[in-house]
Amino acid sequence: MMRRLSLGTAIVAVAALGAVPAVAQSPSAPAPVTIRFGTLNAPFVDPVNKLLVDNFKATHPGSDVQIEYITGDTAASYATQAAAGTLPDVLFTADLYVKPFAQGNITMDMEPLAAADPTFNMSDLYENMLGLSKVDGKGLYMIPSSYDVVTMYYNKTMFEAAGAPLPQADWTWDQFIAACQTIKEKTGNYCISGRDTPKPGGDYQWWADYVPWIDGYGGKLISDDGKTALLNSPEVIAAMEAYTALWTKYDIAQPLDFDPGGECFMVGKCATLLFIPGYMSAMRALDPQPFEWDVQGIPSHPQGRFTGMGTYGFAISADTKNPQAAWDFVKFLDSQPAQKAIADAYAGIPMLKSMAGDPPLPGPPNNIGAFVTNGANGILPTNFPGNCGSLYAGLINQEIKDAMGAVIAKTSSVTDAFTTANDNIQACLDKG
Amino acid sequence: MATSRPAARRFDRAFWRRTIRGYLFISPVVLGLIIWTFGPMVASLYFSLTDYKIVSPPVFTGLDNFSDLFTHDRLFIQSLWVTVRYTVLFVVLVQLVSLPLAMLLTQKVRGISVFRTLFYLPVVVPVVATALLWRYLMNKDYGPIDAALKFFGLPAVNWLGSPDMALVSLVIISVWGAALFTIIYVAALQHIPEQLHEAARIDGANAWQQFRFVTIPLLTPAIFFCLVTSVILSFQFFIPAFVMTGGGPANSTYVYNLNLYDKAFKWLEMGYASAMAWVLFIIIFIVTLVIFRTQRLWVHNDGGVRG
Repeated sequence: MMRRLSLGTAIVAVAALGAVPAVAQSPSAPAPVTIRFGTLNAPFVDPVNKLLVDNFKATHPGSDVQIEYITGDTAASYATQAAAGTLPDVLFTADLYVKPFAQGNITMDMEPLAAADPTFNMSDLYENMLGLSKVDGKGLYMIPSSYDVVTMYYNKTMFEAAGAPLPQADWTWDQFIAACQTIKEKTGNYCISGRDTPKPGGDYQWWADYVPWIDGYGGKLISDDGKTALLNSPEVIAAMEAYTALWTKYDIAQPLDFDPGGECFMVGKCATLLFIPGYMSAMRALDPQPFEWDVQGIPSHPQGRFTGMGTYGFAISADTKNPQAAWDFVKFLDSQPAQKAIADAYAGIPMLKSMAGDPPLPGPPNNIGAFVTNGANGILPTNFPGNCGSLYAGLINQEIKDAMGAVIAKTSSVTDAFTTANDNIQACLDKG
Repeated sequence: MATSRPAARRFDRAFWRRTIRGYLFISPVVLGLIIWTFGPMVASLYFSLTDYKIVSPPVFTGLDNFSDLFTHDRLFIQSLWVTVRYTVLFVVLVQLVSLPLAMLLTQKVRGISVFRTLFYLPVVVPVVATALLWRYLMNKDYGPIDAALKFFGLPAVNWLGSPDMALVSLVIISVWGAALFTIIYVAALQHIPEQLHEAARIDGANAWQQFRFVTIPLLTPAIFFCLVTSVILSFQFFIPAFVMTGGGPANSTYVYNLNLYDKAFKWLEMGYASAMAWVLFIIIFIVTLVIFRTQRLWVHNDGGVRG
């Protein structure tokens, strides 16, 4: 999953990543080639960019890499380039883009290249992460970068100062909410950060935040045959009542208009942050550390423990004239040296099952294993058929976002808001 | 005599030389207009009649986009209504603020040019920078405006977080940055002959009567221009809403152009967004036409002749 990280300081260990040895390639040196590499210029990606570029140049003597940073919206940039026939050879991508990019002929299926490459061991990748790279269970449209599961970062200092119990692995949301209320009462701080994205202030519209609640209450957004929207089902209504209550009843989630001048958890105004492993590097880079912090698994809902998962990665463009060279470039991301380098930089959790037994890195966080154990609770975003959009963009996203926004702004009840959203989505599904 | 034919020929050559030279001089502008203005407009008109998702070729669908806009898109009406409310608030407020300000800026006061410069500065500040600055100023928890209100014992205002206040806040920011109209009024006020005010004074008119019966009628061309321009600008409002509120809270600032932007660049529905752009063009055209038609009733051109 790709989310913009609001970071005050640079990521660590660029030098460490640059010292990673290259993966052994076939004995005969490939012909020199220039690869165009489209990627983000963001602190959590920069070390990975350098890793890939350095390895490619080392294994392809005489070859060059032209880095082209994406400006503006990723999907819109690539769509425009695809229309103009100027896509780079290698593209930054993320789980939310896998299906639309594949269907839009922006990325190519890398599975034939992977199958023909004895150095690439697909079976060593965690199946749930590999699933993010497939479209309808097929193909390989992304080389994933990290085992990204939404896990709880918590401000240990704030919890202890408020006399609230520290988050535990077997906690329920009720226990977590009670602790948050204690923190709010004793310190005046909010409990759940909005991550400072998409705008400064609280956030509610990321699918990884609310879909786990729906699963946790036994609900679904759409029927299994993809024909019936279920936003107004009793289970979804109950889930959304409970989710939006974090703002409307308990007032423990960062309000939408509360802008503390930075990401709320990092600036010490929110007790927890539900986010991906890559954020560790941003927190560790703070010198001195503003407070003691650690990580813990997501609390449990009535019907189980669920959390969102996803990852960013890289893909080969459908337009490339150098598919083999592009494959050599991207596959390195899922090699042991690269995954170790990403882990050592606290920029992610290794994607490879063979690295599960590696000794844990020194803290903070001390409970880094929570990222992996929490993976057992990971769920993927709901897919919607047809042209009604997805949980990321389009009508589906707009209707759910508007419904939740109305509830949190207290201009509508959950039932009314989600019934309206359901009706609008159903009308689109009926159009086919 | 035979000299008329050679003279005509010489005249024709000179005429055509001048004509060609003239066209050559204006050709960069004309080419620019064709390539970068009219060309994209024609392309946009075509795309509005297609299902065009950028990554695949456009498929002709006729008027489906326009029909969906009016029958299936609740956000179309909602965003248009937000834009109309913004327009009414902005146009009224900007006229009420600009004209008195212009009158102050035409006073014979030492250093008046410094005041005029200071009031005009917001116009030259980039809009995004302005939006980011005002987002900080209007922060209800840490912003200086609410801090000042609390200092004076007044309740803090949730400027950007309240569905009732957010649009008003954006209007305030826009009016702050609309000194362009003030300058137009300053220029118009300076063009009113002093003799007319003198004559009114001699006839016994007080300050208010001079303003009402001399200044305002002679300002009507400027008011007309500012009215039309402010209406057009307000229908195109986008950047502050995009930067500061994203259309929230609860879509209370979800203006038409934000909706258009989302359809084009988030939903990648370029054909649909093109249709929205043409609908906006037609709306602005009709509103402007209506205002133009009314000018004969209230606009005094030079010489006091109406319309």
